[in-house]
Amino acid sequence: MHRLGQAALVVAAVLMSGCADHPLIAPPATSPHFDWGAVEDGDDVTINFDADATFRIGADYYEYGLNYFPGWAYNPIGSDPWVYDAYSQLYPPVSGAGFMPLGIFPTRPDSLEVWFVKPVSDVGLNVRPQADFEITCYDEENREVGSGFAPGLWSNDWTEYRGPLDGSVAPVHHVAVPGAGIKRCLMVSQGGSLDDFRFRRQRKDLVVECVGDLGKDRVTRGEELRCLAQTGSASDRIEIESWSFTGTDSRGQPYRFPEEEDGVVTDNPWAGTMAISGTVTVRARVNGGERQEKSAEITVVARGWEDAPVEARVSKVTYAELPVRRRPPAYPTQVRDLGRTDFAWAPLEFNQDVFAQISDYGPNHYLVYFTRVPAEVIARVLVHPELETRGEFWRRQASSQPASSTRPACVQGEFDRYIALVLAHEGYPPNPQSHTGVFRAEFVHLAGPQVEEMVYPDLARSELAQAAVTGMREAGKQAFVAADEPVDENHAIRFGCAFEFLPR
Amino acid sequence: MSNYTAAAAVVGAALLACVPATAQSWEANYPHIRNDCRLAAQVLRTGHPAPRREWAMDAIRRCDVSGPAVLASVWREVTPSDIMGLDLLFNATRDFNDRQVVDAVAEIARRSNAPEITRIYALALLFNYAVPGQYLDIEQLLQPGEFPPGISFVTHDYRAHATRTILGDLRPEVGEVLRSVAAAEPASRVGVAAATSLRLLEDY
Repeated sequence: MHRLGQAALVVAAVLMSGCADHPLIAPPATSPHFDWGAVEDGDDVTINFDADATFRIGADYYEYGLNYFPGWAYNPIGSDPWVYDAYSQLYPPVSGAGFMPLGIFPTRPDSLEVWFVKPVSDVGLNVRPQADFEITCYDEENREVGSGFAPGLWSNDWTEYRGPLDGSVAPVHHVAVPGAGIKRCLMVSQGGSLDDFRFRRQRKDLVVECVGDLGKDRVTRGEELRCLAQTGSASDRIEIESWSFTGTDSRGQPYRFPEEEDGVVTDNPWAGTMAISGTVTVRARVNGGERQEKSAEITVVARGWEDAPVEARVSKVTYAELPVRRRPPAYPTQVRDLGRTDFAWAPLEFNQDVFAQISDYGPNHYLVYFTRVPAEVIARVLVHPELETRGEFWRRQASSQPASSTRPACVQGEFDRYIALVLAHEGYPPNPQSHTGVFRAEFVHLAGPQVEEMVYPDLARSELAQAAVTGMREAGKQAFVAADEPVDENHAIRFGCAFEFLPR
Repeated sequence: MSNYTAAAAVVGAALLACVPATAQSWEANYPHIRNDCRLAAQVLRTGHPAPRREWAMDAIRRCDVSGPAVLASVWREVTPSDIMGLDLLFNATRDFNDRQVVDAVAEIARRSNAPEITRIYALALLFNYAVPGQYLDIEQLLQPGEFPPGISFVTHDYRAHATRTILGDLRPEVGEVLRSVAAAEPASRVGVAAATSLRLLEDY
């Protein structure tokens, strides 16, 4: 480690006093202010120092060293080349949001005190390849990641130090080194003078890429999304500080994972089953650099429910088994009394058979969504007992076709056919033109989308169940409307004869 | 096929689906049906003979002339308080789209000294008049649980489908009954059932 001692400071003072004639030092232009807002990644910049000021350094700047370097003057062993470790210098490296310029002056005390500087100018991109110095930079694993002077090392900034004690002014030469993953730099002295030696590392942009079953940033509900933080180069080292997901659940409430109590997620990639759309955000450092934050907008696409399995319990019941309140008259008085179907739907037990709780510590951890329509359709088909049991109604029908009748009469010998027609019309078993078949199809068609968008946190399960019931009730109503009169109108039974209904 | 006529007592039915409500009165035209209606009225109003009650509740459904008045008086004066009796009364009443009946049922629903179960049946029947073809699960109204009561439907419920044509939209009127009962007795089982029914009605 290089340490400046008293002797070196004396030498430095001598050096500084002679800087005005040094070929590296050019007269600064005058421009009192610097606009940081105009800085873009990769720009070379000039810092406009104000006394006692705190200021930010551009987000793409990493300060690895700051040093007064009187190469020729300070060579304690008297030999060249002299190696200077810029990373482990006398003064602490400055990084992050603040940059504290340092200066070395003849009157500078021998301490670690940071001196203020007073800018006298902003200097533009005054690039001067320096052939006098050679610098080599290394990454954390001591691999060489940047070296040389021109074109890799150049000067572009000129500033002036003003000593706080005596007001003396000295120009400063800034040097930048492009490279990736720089952790330390070594400079071989070949003589000359440099003040304020900064190493700037080229920024590697972080990229977050999320891929679901539908491609980039798109995933079907219930499928996995994988998000990877990367730079495009496998050699870059990504240090994940945190992943997070924000979205809105079906109640309209904000959802975020992880919350503070969940701890920090640092996996890379971050993957998990998805249930709601939202934003995946990663905070990470590339090669030990500054924190970067990148986000991806994720779209969760609804599943299709056309073929959703909804159990339909269709049974044929007797008159006594049909709920009293929905029984036809004991003796049929109209054709419509000959068959009847009682429809209902019932919510299934609200358990893991009908919903999935995401618990993979992925972006939608804790969310619950439906994996099936949480209901079954119940249909009870009745053939009027007077049609089935050959009772009074049967006896009232003609035993054979009357010769004089202008319209065919329904006859006793055809009752099996009439029963079959009634059963087919009601839908026992279900068929697409029957009441039960249409009800089931419509219920699935309507209830599926109703429950599809219902995604709640696991703590709101009972709320979710209530919402599902409400949604399915609406689906049930609409399904019945579709399965009732339209079926009668479009798929009426063609008995081809007329029944005698008047009771005896 | 649209008319039942005396001459066409043989009601031809080419299609199961296309039979609307009767336009001609069987009770007025057939003496044996009138006799049945008189007997049914007697059984229902007096309760005697008791074994004929079920028969009477079914027979009254064919009494298109006298039935509504009989059923209105049954609701007001001799309402059963057992489940089977109420189920039968519900079913018989539902066959009539008649103002007398609706008024009587609404009266019982509001009557605070009527049996609780009878009032809940009255609430459910009013709901059915307001939303024809849809039947509240009365058992769940009687024993409210985590979920609101289920709703059932039945095909070929042509009498229910004719309700709005004959009586108009009863939702505002029924809604008012439910609202007043719910407000008057918020803590009672009837009040809770009224509030639940009202919430469901407001979905329509």
